[in-house]
Amino acid sequence: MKKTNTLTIDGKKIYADEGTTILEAARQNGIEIPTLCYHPRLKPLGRCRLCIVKIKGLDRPVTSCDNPIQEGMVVATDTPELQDMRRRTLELLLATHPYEDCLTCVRTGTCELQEQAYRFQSELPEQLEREVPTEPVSDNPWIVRDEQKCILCGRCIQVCRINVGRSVYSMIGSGVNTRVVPYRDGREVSLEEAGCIFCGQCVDVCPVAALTETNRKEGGREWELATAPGVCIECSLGCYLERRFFDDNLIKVTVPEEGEKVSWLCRRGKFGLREREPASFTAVQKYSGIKYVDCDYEEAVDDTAAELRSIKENEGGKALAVLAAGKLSNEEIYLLQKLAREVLDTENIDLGIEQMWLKAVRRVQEISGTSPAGPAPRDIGEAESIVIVGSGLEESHPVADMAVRQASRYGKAAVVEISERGEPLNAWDGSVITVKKGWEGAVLRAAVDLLKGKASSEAAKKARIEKNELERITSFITGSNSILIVTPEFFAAAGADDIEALIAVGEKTGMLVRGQNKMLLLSRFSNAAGVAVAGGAPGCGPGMETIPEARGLNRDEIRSAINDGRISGLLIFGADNETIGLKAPFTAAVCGDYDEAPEGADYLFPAQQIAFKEGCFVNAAWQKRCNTAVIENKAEINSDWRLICDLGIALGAKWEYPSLEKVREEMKEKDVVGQADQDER
Amino acid sequence: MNNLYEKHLMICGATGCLASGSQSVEEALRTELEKHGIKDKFRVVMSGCPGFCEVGPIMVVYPDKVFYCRLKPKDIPEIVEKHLFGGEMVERLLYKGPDVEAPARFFDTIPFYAKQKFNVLRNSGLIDPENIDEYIMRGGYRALTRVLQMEPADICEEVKSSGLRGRGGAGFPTGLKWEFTLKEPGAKKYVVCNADEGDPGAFMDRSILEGDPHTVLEGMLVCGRTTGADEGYIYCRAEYPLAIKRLKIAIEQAEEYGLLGENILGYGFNFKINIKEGAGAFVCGEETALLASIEGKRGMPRPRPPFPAQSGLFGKPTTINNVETLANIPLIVKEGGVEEYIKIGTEGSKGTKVFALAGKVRNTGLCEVPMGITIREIIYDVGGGIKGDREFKAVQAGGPSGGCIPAELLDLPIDYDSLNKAGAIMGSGGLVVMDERTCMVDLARYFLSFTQKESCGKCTPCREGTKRMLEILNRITEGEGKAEDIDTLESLAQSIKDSSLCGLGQTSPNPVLSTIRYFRHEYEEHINDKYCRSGVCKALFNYKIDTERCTGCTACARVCPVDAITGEKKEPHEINQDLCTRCGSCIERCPENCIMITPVEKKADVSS
Repeated sequence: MKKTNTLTIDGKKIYADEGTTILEAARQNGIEIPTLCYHPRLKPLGRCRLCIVKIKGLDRPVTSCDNPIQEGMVVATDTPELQDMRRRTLELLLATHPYEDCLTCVRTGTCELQEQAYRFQSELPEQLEREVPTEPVSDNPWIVRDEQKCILCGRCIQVCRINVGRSVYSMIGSGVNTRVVPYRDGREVSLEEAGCIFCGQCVDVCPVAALTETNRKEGGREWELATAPGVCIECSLGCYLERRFFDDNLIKVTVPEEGEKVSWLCRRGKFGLREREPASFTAVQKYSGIKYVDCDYEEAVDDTAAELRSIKENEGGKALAVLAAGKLSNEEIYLLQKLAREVLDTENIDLGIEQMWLKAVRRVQEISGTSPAGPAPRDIGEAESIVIVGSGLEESHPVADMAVRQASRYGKAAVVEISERGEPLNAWDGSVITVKKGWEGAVLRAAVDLLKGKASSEAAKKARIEKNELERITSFITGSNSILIVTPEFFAAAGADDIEALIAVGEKTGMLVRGQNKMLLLSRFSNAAGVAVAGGAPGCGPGMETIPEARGLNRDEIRSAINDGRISGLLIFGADNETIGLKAPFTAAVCGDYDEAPEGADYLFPAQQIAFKEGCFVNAAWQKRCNTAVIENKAEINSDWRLICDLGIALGAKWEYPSLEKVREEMKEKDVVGQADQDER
Repeated sequence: MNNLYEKHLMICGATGCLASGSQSVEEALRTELEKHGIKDKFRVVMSGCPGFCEVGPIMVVYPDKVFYCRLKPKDIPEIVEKHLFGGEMVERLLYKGPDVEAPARFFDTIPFYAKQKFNVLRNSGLIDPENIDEYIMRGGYRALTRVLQMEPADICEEVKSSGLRGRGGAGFPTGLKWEFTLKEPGAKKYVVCNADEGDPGAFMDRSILEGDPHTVLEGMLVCGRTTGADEGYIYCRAEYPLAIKRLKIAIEQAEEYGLLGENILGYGFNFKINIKEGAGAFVCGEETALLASIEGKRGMPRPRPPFPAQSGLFGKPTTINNVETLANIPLIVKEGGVEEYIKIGTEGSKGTKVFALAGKVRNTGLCEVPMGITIREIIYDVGGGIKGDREFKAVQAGGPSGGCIPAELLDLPIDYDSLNKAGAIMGSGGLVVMDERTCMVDLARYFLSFTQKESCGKCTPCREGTKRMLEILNRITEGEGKAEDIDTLESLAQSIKDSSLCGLGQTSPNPVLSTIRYFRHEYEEHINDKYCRSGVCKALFNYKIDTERCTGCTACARVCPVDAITGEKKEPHEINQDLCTRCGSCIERCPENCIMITPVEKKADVSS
């Protein structure tokens, strides 16, 4: 329980928690103090000096952003002297900022310097001479730096150092020629050379146009952009994001600024949506035997339905298979599994999930008794020890990797990684226990043996792990505030005994008990949890119902069944690299590009751009997050859920889904999404 | 086996005298002694700084206390023959000056030394700084032995009662500072010695480190023992290679003697000292920036609180003291030290202060004077008055963070509080003396261009504000001043003072504010009359020859690099203002002092 302090700000009596800064206390009580370098999601920087206030008993004003309140403090925020000083400071900032560019600047309207200048009705000072590069630098496809506009607030330096754990930026020079530049080994370098991962978080916190998205000039003005809140489906963390549209074009992606939806993004989240080209065809493509030709949508749907029906009638449902790449929404998954099971009569359905991941999730659910909710990235930051099982976290789930770095460098966490990586990341205050690929499970088994007090461990011998290393792992995972992160690479190579070892570790260490799970299980499929809850996997029906006797084929099995000629009809929703080689006697695929299409597929339905996609997803922490519909789909491509319905109806199903809302109602009735549905955090 | 020497020949081996050639004097001396086969009878020591840099290279012969100055290698044979063999002083190499009637024979009869009081510099010039035995013989490490048997709180009490205040600039009571760290819980604490002497022209700390490194080590040890620290850092600028070399030797020797390291003198006290070389950024003298620099980060200050006593180096409680402060410590905590110590100084400022005397004063160099001495005494008695008998105008105290003190305050006693009241600061002890040929606007401009360049760039008022002020001052000195400039400068200065993050920014406007305070008329003259009376701002004055007094000696015409001076021999000369570049060569040369500084004459309006 935090102590409450009483203080006076501008004559108003105020109560605030001990440790609150003067600025926060004032803002909590509706007293506005101007700021520029302050950012609610960063630690106070204390650089701009706009937030100075007067404290009774002190000669000199102090900055309110970095000074905590004290019992009985008497603060004045709005005296004429303070306002004069702030105005002068602001005019000094303007003196090194090319304000004549405001007319054409992309940040006009949301520029924080402009806003303060307006509020103070600043006079425009003569420009001060300053030696910084005059041309914007665009040395990469994502971020443009314009040093002329930099006001040296230091936000980018901090967000990169603390949140991303990268330290790309550094201050160099002195006095008025001080600059913020990408810096490595004593010299100014390109962003890439400085170790930038182009997550764009610096762009999102920049108060001015010193850091902007490449091509930002092509879109509308800031105030013309429509905002659609949504969720990132680049990986299974499902970070919140905001899509910004202008005239039906996605202009950029930003992080939600305030409230509970605050998150950070990685490069794929920040720039991925915009990088995706719209489908290279807008009409359905029919394969003529030599090439693809445009085809009428209804005709394609009817023809596809007819083909599938005929295979079902002649060879049975087991000759049909449905695949997807894990980026479908819960609603689409629900509809597609319904189409497969109820209409096509097949259990050969894999919409993007690893069987071993599913097995682990089911076991977690069994033991914890509730949903398999794991820790979210923000919980990682609070952890005291973190064990990472498996390689490739940085590539598969960059934001989780950032959270680990942050927890390790600036939080309390010690980190150990069990993977095939040879060296620890130097940003981690931890170590790597290197094992051969696929042997992580053996290490876990050895750890369980040790925890059980076994004198010798077969598993330890097999994994060739030293006793002291093993003891280090167990000391990490038995801490009171430990988190275990399991990467997709572990699940890719794991067998059933590895999953049992994982669960045993959880149980033995208290990470996994009734009502609690502190293991974050990361699938390589973005909406793997959605696939599980909406039933898009063989043997896993809606609401994660177990379907034992009718267990169909998973994606690997479907692949070999196609090769063996046991599958005659194939539906692929969202083709990707993996499905390129798949060709059943009849194949229909939804994809964005010929390159992604399964070779010789009979029909190619144009994919809906992800940016426009409506629907809900469940992330690895078992939180349901939704993309709201924004705008009418400009390319007039039918949305994926609509196509599923049309196919169902063409196949004779009595489906009535006039809107997505109807699908949701049905799912709710059946309690499909279950725990995750109420769990929106 | 130590020799018993007949005489000790102490050649100044500090940076000032090394620069004027003391190394070759030493070599010549050693060669000469070798030649005569008497090197076992006379001991040659490269000593610390005796202070009188103006007349270097210096050699003092003990026990005779004979002070030789401005030595050249060729003087050595004469000294050896006459003095060492013959027992007679070499008269021509003794100190002569306008402040003495006859050549001063002995060290202590030179007026420069008469009013000085050697506390901190007690060993400088007397001992071999590279020999710990000599420090110990002079009472060194006795204070440490004493405090090892005392309670930390009692040591703290002694330091508090001595009234010692930080010599680095701000004058914070040292005992109190130590108490803060002492009371802070934690097993790991640090002592940091701030040897990042950055004020232009200041070299007090360097001289102490070069002349008596052990006294600083002992001060740190006492501090560590008192506050509970077991590790110390000396943050010394890399531009002080000699100081660093001597510190390293001192640390090595102290470790060898068991005065540093584990279980010191068997009292269970551990302490080790590291040296960190700074790259010379002025802002690194600010304590939080200094700590960042030791930690390997960019030297930038951070907001306080937390104070270093709470969270300092690597987040641990840390005491940061300046070199000179630490050098005072062994004197205070020795047996009966406090009683002795408080006898010197004033009510609010105890002890002595070392100053680096520079500028237009006759005797430049290092001096240590008791607190409370007047500026007049320092300049006229120690400093020997103004060079060329010009008129004293002001003295800049405290470097770029300080302010100027004008002639009317010559009798101001030097202590922390009176200097603050006068708009200057004690600072680390730089005193730059200025005469009538110093333009106060230009002086302010000079210091501001320094701080502007040294601003770390972190906070807005300091980074941009100093640049803005500098621009205005540049304009004024170029004759483009506007009527409102003084007001703008003052309000900007106040703003920077009040809202900057660290000491560098907060004090950076001081030179401007104090020159405006005491020399407002010069600013007004620059702005309104476009006239620089000191003849410094080239756009704002003319040289003019007083034709009444000019004897036509042609000296000025001959020295003029642009042939702007014309006139017949023995006839009054004239300066062609269109050609004159105001280089000042003529005014230096004129034997009659008849070249005057006058306002720029306005050209007659052609159209009327």
